[in-house]
Amino acid sequence: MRAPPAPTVLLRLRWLQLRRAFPLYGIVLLALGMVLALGLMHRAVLQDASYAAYIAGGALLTVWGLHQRRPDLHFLHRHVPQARLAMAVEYGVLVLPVLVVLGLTGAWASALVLLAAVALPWLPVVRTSGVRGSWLRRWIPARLFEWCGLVQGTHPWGLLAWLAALAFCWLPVLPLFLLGIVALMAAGAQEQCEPRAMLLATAPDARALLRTKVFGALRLMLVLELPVLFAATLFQPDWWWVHAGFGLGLLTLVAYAVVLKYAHYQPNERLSANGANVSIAALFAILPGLSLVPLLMLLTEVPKARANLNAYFHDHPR
Amino acid sequence: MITLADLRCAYGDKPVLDIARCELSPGVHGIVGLNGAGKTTLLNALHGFGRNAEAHVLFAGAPMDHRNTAFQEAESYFHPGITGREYLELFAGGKERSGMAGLNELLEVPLDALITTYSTGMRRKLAILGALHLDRPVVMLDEPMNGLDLASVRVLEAIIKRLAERGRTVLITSHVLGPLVTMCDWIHLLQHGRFTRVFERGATEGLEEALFAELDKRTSAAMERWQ
Repeated sequence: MRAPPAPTVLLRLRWLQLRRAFPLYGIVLLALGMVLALGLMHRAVLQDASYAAYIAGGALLTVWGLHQRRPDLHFLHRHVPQARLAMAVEYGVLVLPVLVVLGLTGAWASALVLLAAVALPWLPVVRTSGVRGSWLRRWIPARLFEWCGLVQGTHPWGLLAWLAALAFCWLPVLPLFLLGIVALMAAGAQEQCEPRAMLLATAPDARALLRTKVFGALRLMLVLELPVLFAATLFQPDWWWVHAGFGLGLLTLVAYAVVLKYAHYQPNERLSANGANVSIAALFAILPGLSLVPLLMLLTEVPKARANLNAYFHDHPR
Repeated sequence: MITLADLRCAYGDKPVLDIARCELSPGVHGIVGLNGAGKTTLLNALHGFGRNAEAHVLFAGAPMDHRNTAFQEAESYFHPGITGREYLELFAGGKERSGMAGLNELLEVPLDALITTYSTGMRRKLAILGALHLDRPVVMLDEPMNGLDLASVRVLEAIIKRLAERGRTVLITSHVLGPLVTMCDWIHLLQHGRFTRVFERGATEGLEEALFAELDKRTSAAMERWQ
């Protein structure tokens, strides 16, 4: 009869995963990186003792997040004896380096908070539906389902980038950079083609579909752009023309991504090659004096998109 | 009334569909045939795709295409990252279809979950619901019973019956003859791209024999050679 696995079973599993994922030098580099990070933490706490509470809280929250989202939770409870103890040991080892660092700096109160990590396996896990940003998606019209896919794929990072753009609107370049990232995310979401049934349900013909998709995308981009650019212009009034040009460039970029998708539309396909074209358009959009190039690229793709979509919308005899 | 005339479809040089003339009254039509008989090609042609230039495909005297048909395709693909509810909202065109919520509940599709987490049966049910949300006079279901459990097939039967009562024309293709016989007012036998026989409700004796006659002959010959 086989002996039941010890509570260290998850630690041994992680070690095996690490050995398979990295060569030996990779593990050594990872360890060195960790030591460096811990050293920086140690130094930060020595400089300002108030950091200890943030570090302890952050570490505890991270482990809590790991526990809430771990995909093997059901499996462990079903197949591993003393699953909670095994998870407690795993979490304990995870927070141990931070605990030691905090202990070395004498921040014992914060270090003791970390001990709560070993109690996490006994807390209830809130199972979510896996749908990200439900409250954001309610604002997206059904015909712009790509944007729901965008929220699903990028939430919360996209939202954080946008909030950061808004929060740092007093700085000259950073908000534009962050807004550019959001626009690239939106353009990237246009690579996936919908099935034919969804295409035909969106609009009655090619012209109406392009209008719905392009103007819908522009409306959503304007909602994202205007608050940031308006706030940035309040802080940098002399840059109003830069902000206006940049905003128009991003609108053109997203419209181009939409039109490019339908110029090469094939049901259910992912048009990964479009990413290269969108990157080129993005590059031109931010180069001074060349921002008209993406607009020209957009205009040349519109007839192609109409012709390609007509094959799906109208009877096309063979 | 659907009227088909001179409808021919081919893949390359291979003819798949050849219908000289056919009329389909409002009601439930089953289309049965072996693999490659042209069932899906026929539904595609009715939906407006892959027809020959001379074909006449009319519904109530007007040209018939995707604007007056709802088509649940045999392959259920969906845009990734969206929920069942978002999918159905697209098909409803922003309008609230009365009674559809009840159908959703009956088919037990988890509408607020991501479609990528659905089982095959759930995806099939969602595709069927999408076609129903379009609210078109002609509803075409390609292999709707594939992947469905017995309870869902029973609900589907009730839905199709109700559609027929509302004057819709429903076309169903299936390999499962049992439910088709109970659901359909007419069952059309499609062989090598042509309608060869029609069986009316209550007079479906000989359907199975007619469907498998050619196959049985070939099977017997192959078995003899094998021995």
